[in-house]
Amino acid sequence: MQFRFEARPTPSRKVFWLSPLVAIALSCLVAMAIFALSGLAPVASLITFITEPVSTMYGFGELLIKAAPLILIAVGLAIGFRANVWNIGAEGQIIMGVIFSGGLALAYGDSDSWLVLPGMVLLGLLGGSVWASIPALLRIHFRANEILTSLMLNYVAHFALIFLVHGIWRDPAGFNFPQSKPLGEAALFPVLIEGTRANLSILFAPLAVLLAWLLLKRSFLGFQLQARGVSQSAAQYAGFRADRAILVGMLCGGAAAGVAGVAEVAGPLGQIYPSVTPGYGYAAIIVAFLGQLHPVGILFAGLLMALLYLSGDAAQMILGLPPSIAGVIQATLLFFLLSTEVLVNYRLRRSRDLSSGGSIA
Amino acid sequence: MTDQTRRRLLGGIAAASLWSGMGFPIVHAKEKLKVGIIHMGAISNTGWEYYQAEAWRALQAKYPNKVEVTVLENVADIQSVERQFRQLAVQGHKLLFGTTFSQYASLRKLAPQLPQSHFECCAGIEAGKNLGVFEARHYEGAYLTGIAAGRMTKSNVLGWVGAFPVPQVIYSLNAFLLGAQSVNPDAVLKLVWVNAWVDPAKERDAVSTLVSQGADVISGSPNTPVQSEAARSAGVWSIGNTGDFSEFVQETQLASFELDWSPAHIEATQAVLDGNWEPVGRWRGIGDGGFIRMATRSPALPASVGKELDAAEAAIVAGDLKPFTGPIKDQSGKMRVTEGAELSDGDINSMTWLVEGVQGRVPS
Repeated sequence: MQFRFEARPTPSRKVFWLSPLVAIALSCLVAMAIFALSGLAPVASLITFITEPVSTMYGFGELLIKAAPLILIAVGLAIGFRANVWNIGAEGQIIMGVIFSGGLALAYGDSDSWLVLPGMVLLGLLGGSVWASIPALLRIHFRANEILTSLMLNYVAHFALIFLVHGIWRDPAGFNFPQSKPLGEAALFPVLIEGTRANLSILFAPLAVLLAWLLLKRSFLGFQLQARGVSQSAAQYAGFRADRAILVGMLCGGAAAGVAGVAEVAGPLGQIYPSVTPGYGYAAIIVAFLGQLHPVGILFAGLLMALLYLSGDAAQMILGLPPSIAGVIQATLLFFLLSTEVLVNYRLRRSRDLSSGGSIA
Repeated sequence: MTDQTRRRLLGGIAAASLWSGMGFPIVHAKEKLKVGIIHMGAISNTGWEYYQAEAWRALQAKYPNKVEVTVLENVADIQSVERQFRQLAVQGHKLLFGTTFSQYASLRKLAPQLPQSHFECCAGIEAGKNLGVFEARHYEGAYLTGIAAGRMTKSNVLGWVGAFPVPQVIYSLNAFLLGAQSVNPDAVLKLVWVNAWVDPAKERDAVSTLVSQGADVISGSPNTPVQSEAARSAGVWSIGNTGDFSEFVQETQLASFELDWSPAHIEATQAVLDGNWEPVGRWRGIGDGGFIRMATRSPALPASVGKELDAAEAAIVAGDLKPFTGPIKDQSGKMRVTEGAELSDGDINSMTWLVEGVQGRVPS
């Protein structure tokens, strides 16, 4: 008996919301199989794997500071993705946020001015936006593919930061090691939950979710962006300007990433290092799609990704498994997510039943 | 993993025996000391992380019944360092080892906040509150391998692949050249920075740059098999600086020294077991209880050079030979250490200048 995929007349809403849950369930099964193969009790290990990271208040705080940058950046990127604008340069835009705000942080971190932090956030937002505007302008004026230009600018940004941290920003008391001096109190976000590292900057994430939701669901600009995402020619026919969509789409991602960069240095890092981001700019792309490019979906996706990331600790410390297990389970989740998503637009039919509709298999 | 299940099992048996009133002497079944260690990279068969792992393996071998070791590897991002050390501390690990200078800043911040555990950081600079440090006097090994390099070079040009311009690296390359100059006054050293602890592509490029500039003995810090293999395929000698890579390049590795951190691990652990742990700085080179061990030499090295190396090693162990004894001039020709004087530990540990004959500079 053979099966084939048949296009649905309209995408299924039910499957759209169900597919992430099915993907999570299937990933849990795979995870349990991995645990069983490693000689561990599958169910108990899965529970440890998922709950251990958040079993303490400190762990919960860690979840929040891990999830916040992912959510913030992913929400920004999703606005562009909705408009068919492919910003792969969030990693570099994070770094530019750090570069723009770093000078202020180092110069005035030891003052008692309350203006330092807001100034850093604004400069970070500006830095990320400026960096994102480069691929946008190249796209608008020269039709240069923004995927390539934004990706390549990541390396440029990284080398710019290395240049600064090896040079003028290097801590004179830091034994020549390429890192800045620790930032002063005025340049650090105050801790939000006592006894954790969760600081005020985590609030940018829900704020971004709200703003993105308002933009996409309640504004004409948001409608124009999404129209372009569904059909570029239709959007053009309707008179929606493509260059504006590209610019807005890129800038939203850049601004969010820039702020996330500030949140990292003025938060858990407290110092400027050559490697300020452990790949958040790339992970956020995954989070954006895991959340179906919907702001609320991204909120949950970011929390889930952060949890899986932290679970790597539990895998090592308690279960005695290698840290790559967490990576395998993350990848499994994405695999199932992408494969179940096919069912939103297609349904599985027995091939003998030749009814109408196209086929992709 | 097996340790833990075994412990749980033993705990269960002990509890059961208590319940049944058999009265086993469980008072003596003391809780094992939990020791945690966090590796920045993956533990492989050679190089920095390997020697770190050898230290806690020595700990497990020495205290099979008293110590339980939890190992985390591949913790490269700085955001995670603090969290993972804290979690280990909260889970009852009383002694925690950092494995790199890159964790030093986080540990300085963290150690005073978690007084219920003690911290030790390898390659840290100075001991702090609740934080001990240990580091090898790399320059002793570098000086000795420098003697071999100085004898074997034909072009009188040596090459150095530098990771970061930190004092550990600078005093190593200075000592390497001083060792070479002690037997070959014409020796010079070309220097290339790769700005990474591990980056095979850049390391390979650095070696070919050095070779194209005439270098015929390659060393570096930290040295890796990648550098040694690149040297071998370019037809020049290599040195095993902080690692023995002879299994990869056989006779083209002239001389090598390895790191042995097990004395630091064992002493700190014993102190915690005895309840008299103090945050101290341990800075040791070659010799009994030291952190440096001279390793494989090339069969291509003439016996006379081998004898020279043995004699110099014995003199260093005896304290008669101090590599940083004057006269030493820096690159600009300025006298840094006068005739007969020797550099203090503090001066060595904060060295940012290069000795005369080094061709390259410290990025500033």
